[in-house]
Amino acid sequence: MIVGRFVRSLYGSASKVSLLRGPLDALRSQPRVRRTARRRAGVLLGPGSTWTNVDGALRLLAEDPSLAIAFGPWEGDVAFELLYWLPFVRWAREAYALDPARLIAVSQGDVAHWYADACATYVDGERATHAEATISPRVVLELVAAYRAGTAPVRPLVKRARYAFVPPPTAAAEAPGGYVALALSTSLAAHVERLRHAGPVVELDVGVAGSRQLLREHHAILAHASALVSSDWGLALLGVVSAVPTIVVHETASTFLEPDIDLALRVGTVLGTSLTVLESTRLDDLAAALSAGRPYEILTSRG
Amino acid sequence: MPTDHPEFVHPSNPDAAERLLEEAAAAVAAADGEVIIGPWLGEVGFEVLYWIPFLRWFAEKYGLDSARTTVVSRGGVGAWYTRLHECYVDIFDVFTPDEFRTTTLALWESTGGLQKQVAMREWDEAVLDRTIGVDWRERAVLHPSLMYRLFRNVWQGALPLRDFLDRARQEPWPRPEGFETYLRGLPERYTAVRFYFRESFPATAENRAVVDSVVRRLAATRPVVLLNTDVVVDDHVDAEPTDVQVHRPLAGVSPARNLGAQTAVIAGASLFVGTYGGLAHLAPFYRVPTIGFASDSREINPVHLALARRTADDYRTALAVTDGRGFDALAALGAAA
Repeated sequence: MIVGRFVRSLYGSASKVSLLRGPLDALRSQPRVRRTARRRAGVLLGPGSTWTNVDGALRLLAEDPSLAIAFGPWEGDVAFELLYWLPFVRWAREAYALDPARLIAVSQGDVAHWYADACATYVDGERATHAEATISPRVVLELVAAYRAGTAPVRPLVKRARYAFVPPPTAAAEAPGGYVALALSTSLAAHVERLRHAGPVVELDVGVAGSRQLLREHHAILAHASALVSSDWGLALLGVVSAVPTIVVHETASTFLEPDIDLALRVGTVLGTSLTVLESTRLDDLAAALSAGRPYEILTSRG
Repeated sequence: MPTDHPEFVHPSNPDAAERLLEEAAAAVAAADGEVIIGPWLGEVGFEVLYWIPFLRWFAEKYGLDSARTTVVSRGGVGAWYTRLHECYVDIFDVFTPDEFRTTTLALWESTGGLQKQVAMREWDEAVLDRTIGVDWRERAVLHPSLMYRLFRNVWQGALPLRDFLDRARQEPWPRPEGFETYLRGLPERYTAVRFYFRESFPATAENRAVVDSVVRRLAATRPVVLLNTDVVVDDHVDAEPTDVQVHRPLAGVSPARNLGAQTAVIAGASLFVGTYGGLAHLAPFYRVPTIGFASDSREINPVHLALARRTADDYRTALAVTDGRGFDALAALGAAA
């Protein structure tokens, strides 16, 4: 780890010396040097890596079309996977013209369809042992830490992200729509009750959403909803990437920080999906402001 | 509020912001504290979301003397700049809206669509000549270009939002005075509404239907006060709901008072609903729950959206930016509240 950091630092410093730049470029272009560098690409992806290191590692790995590359394993929250990791994997494939047949996505919850446009192979819940190279989510999460702390700009990370719609699982293709999907915590039961009275709703079990056990089923349900109201950021982002207008009831104690919300709103604007974020008390205020004790008709027809 | 013009794309320089601010402060000192703020010739959104909070911060940090400060803007918005000035000069006391719009649109055309005051141009000088008089040159001018130069890299995502937040100050926005005429006869509780068409809410048949449907639904629960005026100063065209009874207190309002009058009506509303942008940014400052419509959110700058949400939170007010389908769910939440 320390050696890797030292090598990166030394190489970075040498690259800045104009006299050394020419010889370094010449050395770098030698096939044998590049072969060796590819075998050691992991050095570029250790703790303390920069985005430039990540770019360099991907460039090296892209040069050998026979190399199988694993992206993962993703072991974190759904929200961060959809916000930071999956868009990065998509970008890496596209930016370096990697053949999806070489790429293996490793995640949990049977979400192969999320990665289908980037990785031909999906492995659930375990390490892809047959991959010759692995890009760990840790690298990306470390690099976005400064952005999440509010001290770094968003540009370097959005430059390395491709936001796209995620297709629903195939089993959901024929599901009937015309309902509001609800994924609200028990403290928001009053809102659930109101929505039940207003029209058809389908409630998602937010208690197990975080465990990923029902992720496929939840995705299938919300993908056909006319709107999603959620206090779970993972499901909310799944709504956004499924083109479902989404209202998030944000809880201040959430691990989802202000910059995460900013980025989620950005994803909504990139995809053209409506995303509204309201704290619970603000939602109460808005509901009261919309109410005058008289019932509403529903704006769009519900099948 | 498009910010993708080439003049907005500049490399970040960490020292540039401090240098610009020090230069502005030095100019104020050199003019013995005599300051002109403006002229503001742009959109409401940038003015209320960025310009005024930034000015408040600047005034506090560099000790602007409000007694020596004159604000130049348009539409009777002196109250927005509360505590920053003692003198407010309205552009529409001197220019007709037609003259203003024609010159503005010609300027946009000649600058390749750049709608922002990134530099003091002839048009800005002409406005100051006619509103203040030629002696404005003897005073320091806090021109909007200062803000655009400071924060354009924030809007491009090349600097964190913190760079703006650290140079902004949010304060209570007092209700504008002198607009009681427009409030007379309004119901005690009402929903203020203003829809207009823009890139994120284009003039399509579908959006016209959304406007009609939303206003009808709002009017079914509480009186609706439409903020539409006959004043047109840019390329935004008001959307007129059809077949619904609404209050129209601002018909015939003078150009020099139209925004002030709209503000006064919004400040007394229980809810504001309209196109996202402009007045939808303003309403949360008056703690009025707000729903802004965008049928194509790809046309929204995500930095503005993020800041608008954070700012509404600072004022402990709901701001929902949504489309017709999202509004359904919000309305359903309100149905039995």
